[in-house]
Amino acid sequence: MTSFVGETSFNPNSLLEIGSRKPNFQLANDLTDDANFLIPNVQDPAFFCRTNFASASGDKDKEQLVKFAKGTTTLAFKFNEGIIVSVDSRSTMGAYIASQTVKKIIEINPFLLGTMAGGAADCSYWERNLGMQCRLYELRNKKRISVAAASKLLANTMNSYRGYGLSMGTMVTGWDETGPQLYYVDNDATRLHDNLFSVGSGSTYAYGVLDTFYRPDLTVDEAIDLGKRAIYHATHRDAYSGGINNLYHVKADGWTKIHAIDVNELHYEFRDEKNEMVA
Amino acid sequence: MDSIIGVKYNGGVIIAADSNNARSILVYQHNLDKIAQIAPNAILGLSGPNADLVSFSEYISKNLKLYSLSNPGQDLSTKATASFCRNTLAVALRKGPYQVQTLLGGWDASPASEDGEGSMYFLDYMGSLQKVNYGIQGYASNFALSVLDREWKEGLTKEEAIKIVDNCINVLDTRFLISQPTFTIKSASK
Repeated sequence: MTSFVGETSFNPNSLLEIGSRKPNFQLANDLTDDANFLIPNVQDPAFFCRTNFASASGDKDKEQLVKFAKGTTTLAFKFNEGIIVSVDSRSTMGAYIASQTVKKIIEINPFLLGTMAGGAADCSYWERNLGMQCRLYELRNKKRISVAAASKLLANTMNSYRGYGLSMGTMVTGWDETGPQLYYVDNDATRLHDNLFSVGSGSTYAYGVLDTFYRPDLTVDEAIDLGKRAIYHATHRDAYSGGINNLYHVKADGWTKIHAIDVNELHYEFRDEKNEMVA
Repeated sequence: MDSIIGVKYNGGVIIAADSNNARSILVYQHNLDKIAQIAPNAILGLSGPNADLVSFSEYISKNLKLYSLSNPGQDLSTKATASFCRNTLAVALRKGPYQVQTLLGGWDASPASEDGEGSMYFLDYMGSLQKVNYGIQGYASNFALSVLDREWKEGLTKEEAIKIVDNCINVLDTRFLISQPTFTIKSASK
């Protein structure tokens, strides 16, 4: 692409016309430039983004020709032995199930995990960007970045794109010098610190199970079981959640992947368990 | 949905804020601290979206810290702090507004009294500034402002002020639709 000097009076009316415009600023030429995030070449980029790439939550994008992949249940909770992060793997575009095998846990580095909810593209791009910023921090400061700082970097990025229609609801979690930490970061730059979060269309169902059975003194096996069950119950009731339950455990020496189980198998396992209890 | 209640007494101010953090039908947490200590002698109770609460209070407190480092020994009075807050809100209003409703409470040394005096300012997201004896931000004002009108008087003690705030919280508990089980209360005094 070449650079373009001067104003343009062309206002594209549909998504298909965007690709034919030339950007009016220089793209990054080599790895030392800060990567540019292309903004539509229109009078009011923020308004354009908001209306044509509408928020990937609820049904704000139902008028659009291209709907975003969304629909999720993700959860994470802190307990005495670390943090459990448990997610589903379904991606929906309107009523269509686009994929049952989406990786919604993003491995930022061996000590930091991020989850994905909202726009899949936004989550994976900005968390990868966060991974880059964390690595730069390590190189400059000769020590690993804290979870508080990492989540603040992500929240600041979200703050600078406020009003542009980004959609991202993520949990940044890891184990640093201050112990296991869990932060929730949102596309409107909300940053919250607590012991327990669930994000996504199925989050209310997951909260039901999680709040009822959560204790800080759970054993590792009990915590894994709770994370698994909360996701299962959310996928059972929420149409936009399903697929496979991916579960990770964050410990002092980094995260480990515990399992990837199809939630349909869990359904029959729990049903049999209930029948045995009643019998 | 946030409730911020502020009362001035003889020698200081009290600010109480609910600790709920909610979006749509979901409550994220019940332990959010919405009262920021922006200076050694001033506290700011904020209501609004979490991102704006944090970015506004951090902007104000870091700038006040910078001022105190650049001008050693010159502490800003609460009135000056309030002016700074108002100016920040007013300038941002036409660029990218901070959607925060706040109550600023501070303590200043005073020649008239050895305990010093408190002052409270009501700051709107549109940049209006008003010095008040007591104030409430949020829906809570519909219920509790009359309680404060009835009970507040000049020369309250700290205990009496806390009792009045307690009465306000009870009214909210009885009549307000949103359940706010926990409140954070801070005071600024000598």
